[in-house]
Amino acid sequence: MNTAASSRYNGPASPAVLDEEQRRLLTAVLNRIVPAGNGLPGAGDLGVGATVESTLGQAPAQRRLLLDGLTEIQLASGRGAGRDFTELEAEQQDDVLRDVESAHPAFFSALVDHTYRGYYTLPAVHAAIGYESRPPQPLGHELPPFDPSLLDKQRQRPPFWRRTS
Amino acid sequence: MNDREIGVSGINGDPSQPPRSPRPTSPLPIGSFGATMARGFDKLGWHWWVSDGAIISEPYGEGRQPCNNCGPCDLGCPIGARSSADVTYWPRALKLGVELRTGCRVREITVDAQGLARGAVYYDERGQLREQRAPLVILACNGVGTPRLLLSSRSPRFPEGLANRNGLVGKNLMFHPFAAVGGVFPEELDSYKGPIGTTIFSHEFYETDPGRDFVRGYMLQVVRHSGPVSTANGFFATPPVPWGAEHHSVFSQRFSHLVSMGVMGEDLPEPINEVTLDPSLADADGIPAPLVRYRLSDNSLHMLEHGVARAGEALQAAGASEVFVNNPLRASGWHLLGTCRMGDDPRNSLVDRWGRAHDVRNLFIVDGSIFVTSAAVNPTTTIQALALRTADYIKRERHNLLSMRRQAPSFTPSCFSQGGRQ
Repeated sequence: MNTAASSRYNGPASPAVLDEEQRRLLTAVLNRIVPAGNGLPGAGDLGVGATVESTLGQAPAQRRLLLDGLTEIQLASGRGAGRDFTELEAEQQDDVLRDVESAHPAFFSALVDHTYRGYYTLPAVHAAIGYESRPPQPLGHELPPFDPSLLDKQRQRPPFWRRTS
Repeated sequence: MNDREIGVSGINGDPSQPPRSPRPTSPLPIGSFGATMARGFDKLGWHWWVSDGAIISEPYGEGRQPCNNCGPCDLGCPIGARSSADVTYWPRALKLGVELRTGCRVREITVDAQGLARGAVYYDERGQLREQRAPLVILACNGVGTPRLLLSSRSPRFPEGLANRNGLVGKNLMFHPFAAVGGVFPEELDSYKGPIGTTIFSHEFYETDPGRDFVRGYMLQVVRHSGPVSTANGFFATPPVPWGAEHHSVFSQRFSHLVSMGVMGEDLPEPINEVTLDPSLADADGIPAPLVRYRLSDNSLHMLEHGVARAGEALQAAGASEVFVNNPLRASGWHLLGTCRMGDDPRNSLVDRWGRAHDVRNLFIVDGSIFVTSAAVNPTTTIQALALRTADYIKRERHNLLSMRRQAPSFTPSCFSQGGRQ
């Protein structure tokens, strides 16, 4: 699993922020935020970590949030189970993440937000949820024209706007 | 006239509003999501109508294509279906010889010895200070920008800011109090397909009802959703989808199954809601930043509470299985009105019925700041209609207006756009 994941980590858009160990940790975390489903692996194994690293890693304040947050996850794993996060069972991992979520809400909500952004812009995910994976233009969407008969009932109502002097 | 000039979509016959000219293009599609909500309103016996939209649904104007329901209007419309000023008024104004200077920031409007506006002092796109003299000056910086500029324009004749002899510049700021309500429906509604913004609306609770604990009223707006990312991260009233084991089941319940409603209330003008100048904060050119003080009145809070309950009833009548409320929507307050109000009496208003400043007779304002009341409808077309009306007045009075200033330079209309410079 780790090999498959790290093979996707070959070039975030911005300068590298995380080392290999942090990337393995982030992959495992993202696999719990959006677990396997839709016939697809979890967000971490789909390579969303690279997106999170390149987006959260850009601005100094956000980068700090990410780096400190990952360390907090390791600390919480050590405190609770005495093991690395990546070695825990899924349920234990979720317990750790819930602890970190309540202790460090700014980090965790940013992480979830960027994970969703990365995950739900993947063409494979679009296919799985039945969303056409293409730019909005030039095709747009076909919709039936407005049916004026829907307003028949409303047209029977006498005017009720307020007249001014 | 404005609706015809820019091209709007809609349908005549709404009993909640005075008759209007034939709509230039037919209504935009409301999709199954709009039809579902229409059934909900009908079931309750409440008013609803398909919204006018400043988007063309059929060929209209030059070089523009009708809307093809792509969705994210807020990113800018690449096909020119949205009737924004860049595809409606600006091309014609430029063709007629108006010079548009982009990347500029106006520092102040100066006055001459007679107390008339002399022109604008501005930083150009390279940050160089310049003066543009003019026989008359028209401001269109809206409810925060216009008072900011007037208050920044101090002179011995106007020590408290230009055209501010009565001290009312910046007072009576109105937003539209806004709450968001969302519903999850069992059936798929394709609610991300089609133009974002109001699709259908209800004016059932628009007018004052003495039986309620607030005056005036609100519009209920039915608003589309966008795609998977905003479903996951939450939008309007709908919170983010939870992470973890239940993520996929909750996401699939919501994606394409959501309807959002906005409760948009009429704000009341109150002097304590105001725009002043920040005593210390300034932009990169040293122009003082606006300081906005605003609080929701008890009237608005009661109104929003009432509207949130009614929106929930409408969603449930239409079949929603779950309802979310976000009251008030913190990231609202996008309609900026009332800070340079219009009126006949110079003691309690800033501009006359033509948008002409009482104190500075060659200065005009055409934006949301001249509104005296806010109504509970989007203000842009009214602002545009007022601008056309003022333009007619200036045209009619041009001989008097252009000769007001002695030694006035020849009249070359120019316009500053403050956007675009980093």
